[in-house]
Amino acid sequence: MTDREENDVAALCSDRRYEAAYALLVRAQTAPLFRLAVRMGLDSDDAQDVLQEAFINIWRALPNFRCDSKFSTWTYRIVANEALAALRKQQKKRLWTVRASDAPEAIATSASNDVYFQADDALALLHRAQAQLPEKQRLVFQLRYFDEMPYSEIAAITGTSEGGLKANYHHAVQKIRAMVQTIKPNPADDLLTAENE
Amino acid sequence: MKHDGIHLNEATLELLQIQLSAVPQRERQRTRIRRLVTGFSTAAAAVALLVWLRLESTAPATLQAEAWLHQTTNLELMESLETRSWESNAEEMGSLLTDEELNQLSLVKTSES
Repeated sequence: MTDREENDVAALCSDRRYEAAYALLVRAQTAPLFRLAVRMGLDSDDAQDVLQEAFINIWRALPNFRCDSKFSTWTYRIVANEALAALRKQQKKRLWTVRASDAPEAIATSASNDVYFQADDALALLHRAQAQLPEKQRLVFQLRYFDEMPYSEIAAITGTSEGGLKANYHHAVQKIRAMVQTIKPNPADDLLTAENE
Repeated sequence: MKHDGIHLNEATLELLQIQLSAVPQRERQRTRIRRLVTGFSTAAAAVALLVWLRLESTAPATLQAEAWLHQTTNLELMESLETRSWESNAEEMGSLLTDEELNQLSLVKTSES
């Protein structure tokens, strides 16, 4: 979401034109939020359900938004929470059919088979490895690595301190590197090298 | 933003945007329906309460009548019914019957006595 869009939404909200503000949020945020939900390991249908729920919450809460953070950060936070809840529900269901130790592998497989996913081997391997991280660590990794968000913004989304986030991200990178190396010595390792330095 | 290999289908995205844009309208409808349902259920509860209160208020009289019936012998009951039907309900009957019918009834009663 650009600064101009942020200002426009804020201006519309201060004029109590919530419907117009909401329409602008939908136009600007649907694609990045859908991408976030898919990247977190949800398939296309579940990601759409998550966005539906999230935008109902956004519409209901819009009149009470105090502009403490950016609108984009706020919407990311709502979608991240909804996606985490959906993933937990899926895991509970999966426990009945798949052994707990196989669950991360199942998420990785479903993400790789998704029709919207097309990438080279290195990126596919990276996705596979990050799908095995704990949910919150995965979220931090994605926001930092793929979305290149500053730690302050990620802290506002996840409700964690910046120090904690840095440690979280460092552990996530270490784990992904180890996972990638156990699968096969791969160029995916190179993707992380620059980021870690 | 780094390339993540995820390609969003434009058609799906457009459809999703249309669905999300309809959320305010759907929410308004839902609120209206919720208000209607609340109104109807409150009215139904009020009617049920009134009926219950009415039944409760007549319950002691019914119990008293049942007790009286239990204690009274058949003969007494017959006598009581005869006198009650003529004496206590005379006014009520007067309002329901025409003058001609009332006259006929008085004739019958006089002939019986």
